[in-house]
Amino acid sequence: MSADSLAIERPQPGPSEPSPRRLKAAGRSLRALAADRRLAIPVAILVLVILFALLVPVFWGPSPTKQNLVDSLQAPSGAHPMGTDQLGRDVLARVAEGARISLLVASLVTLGGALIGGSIGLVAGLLGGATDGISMRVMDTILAFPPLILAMAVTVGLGVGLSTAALGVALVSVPWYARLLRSEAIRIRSLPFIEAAHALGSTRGRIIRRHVIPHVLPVLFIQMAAAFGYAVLALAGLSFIGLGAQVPTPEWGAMITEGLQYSLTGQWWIAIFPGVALLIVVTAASMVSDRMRDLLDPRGQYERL
Amino acid sequence: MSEAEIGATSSPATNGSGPPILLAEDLSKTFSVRGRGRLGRSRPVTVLDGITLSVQRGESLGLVGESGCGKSTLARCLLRLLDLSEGTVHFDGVDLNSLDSGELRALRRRLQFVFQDPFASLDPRMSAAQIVEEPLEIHGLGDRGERSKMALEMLDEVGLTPEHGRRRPHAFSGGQRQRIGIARAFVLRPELVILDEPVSALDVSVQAQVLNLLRRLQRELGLTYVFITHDLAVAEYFCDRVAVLYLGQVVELADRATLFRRPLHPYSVSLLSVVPTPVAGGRKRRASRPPLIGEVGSVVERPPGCPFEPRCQVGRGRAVCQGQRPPLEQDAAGHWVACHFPGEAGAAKAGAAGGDS
Repeated sequence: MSADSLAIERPQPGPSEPSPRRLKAAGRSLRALAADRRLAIPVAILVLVILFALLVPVFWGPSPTKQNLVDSLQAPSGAHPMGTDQLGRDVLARVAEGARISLLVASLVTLGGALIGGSIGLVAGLLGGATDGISMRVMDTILAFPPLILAMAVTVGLGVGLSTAALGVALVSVPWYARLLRSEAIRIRSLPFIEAAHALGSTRGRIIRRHVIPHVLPVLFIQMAAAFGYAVLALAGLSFIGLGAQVPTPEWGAMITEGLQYSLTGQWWIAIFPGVALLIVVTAASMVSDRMRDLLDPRGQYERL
Repeated sequence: MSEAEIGATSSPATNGSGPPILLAEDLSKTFSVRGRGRLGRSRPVTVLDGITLSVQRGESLGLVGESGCGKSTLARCLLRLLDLSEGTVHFDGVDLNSLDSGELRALRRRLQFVFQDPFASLDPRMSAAQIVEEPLEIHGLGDRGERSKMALEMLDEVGLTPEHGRRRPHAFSGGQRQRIGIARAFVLRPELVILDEPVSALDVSVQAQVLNLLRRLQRELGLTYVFITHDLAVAEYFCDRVAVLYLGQVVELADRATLFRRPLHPYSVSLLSVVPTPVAGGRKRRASRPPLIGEVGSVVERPPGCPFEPRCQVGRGRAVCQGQRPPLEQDAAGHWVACHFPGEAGAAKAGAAGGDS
């Protein structure tokens, strides 16, 4: 799976029979994206992080969880490029394992939030009436909470851990997708080509599949790219305050917490390296989403892609 | 006008013999509009009021009128893209109101629609060939290869090449897009096509091309058209019979030659007075017809009597016009008019200008 498929061509909520025509179109848009340097660079960074997460466990000997108290708190060196922590674990191996965890969980959170929130928004926008009113009031209720506080509450309520933290972050993202897709669905629903499809004898389902979903996907992708960066950060944040991943899981946020106390005594590498990794991933994700917003802007989307 | 009257004197729209392909009887459409503010009470607004029309197989019936007279709403009601508030529409003897959604969808194969706006009525993400193929797909006609072949043939018929078929709508000019819209409607070989201002968004030079294309397709495929336009010159060129709409009512209905030579309703007379004539001295010839005054009345505050009374040169201020709505009555064979004083406006003109061609 390439970074493109992770960051841009995420599995879509909707049918996508891989016909040659569709594949060709996908190839064309991929080439267009690759030609755009402001998008290609952050995407390339994310690809490198993914390769880092996948390849380090294969080619780098030390285990991320194996303790070796003799070698504890060693500064970066040839044997341990990022040093070792207080239990003698290799920080490079732990950062790589943390990358795998962060990217995987954040992807699942993004995907889950997009599927649930997107479906709610589409249904609300297309059906209108009471369905719309009730579901949007529920979304407003979720939005009324500060997002991180709500995620914390969900995590604490369901039992501290990485999976409940992921649930909390996903829940917080649902209303954003729902509101966005609802407004898009309402806009598209009133366009004349929808009425034209109706006049041709299309069923509702067909109109949604063929004419509504393809039009909301670009907007959904932009939102997903932004939400992905937020999910990485929020998960690390929850782990940092002890609500997410628990020791000895090498999660970036948890590693920073552990390393923080040693940074005061000079062992800066334990907290800095996961922190830098976090910074790189979140920055790259938000650059991707910003650039995608420019490229897929509704006014320019049909000319550019 | 009651149905009994229609039965006694034949429908006001009947022309020639044989059962009509499309028959609208006493068709009304009411929307509910919310009043001022959030708590404003909603009230009904009648956009179409008791329209009775029939369309014979093979003819082109024109619906003309100013913006806001309900032309497009009528078109959508005739196809049941909008539900009727009252009245019935029969297509080939089948009451559209009696059909469930599945039957209605199946019937849409025989009843097609060409939209006014060629820019917005095509899905921007689909290629021209896909757009023309879609109706075949919807109705499950042919396999994939046959559909693609039929779509290309149809594109060819409207003057587009297979290479055009691969392009998306944004790559086309307005006239070409309208050709795609026409190909999409005609690829199913429908029996009746409703054209909602099909050339209004186009340049005049392109208008003629598209009109000629529509006429050729009508001849080749034996189609029936309902042609909606606000452009009387287009109606005169294209339609066999013309119905003039004002505020959601048919005020005059006649065959083309009769209507354009001898309009009876003051509104028709005024409308004709503003048609540019490409003949030397033509303007002068029609100058004596009273031009339209004022704005189109509002359907929200519909006059109690004749809807045209506040703007009418003949009837403004007359008690009968203010108080009584004139029924649509037959003046001569096939010439229907809803006016208390039919022909007075035309007579004034005839006297002043020495007749009209």
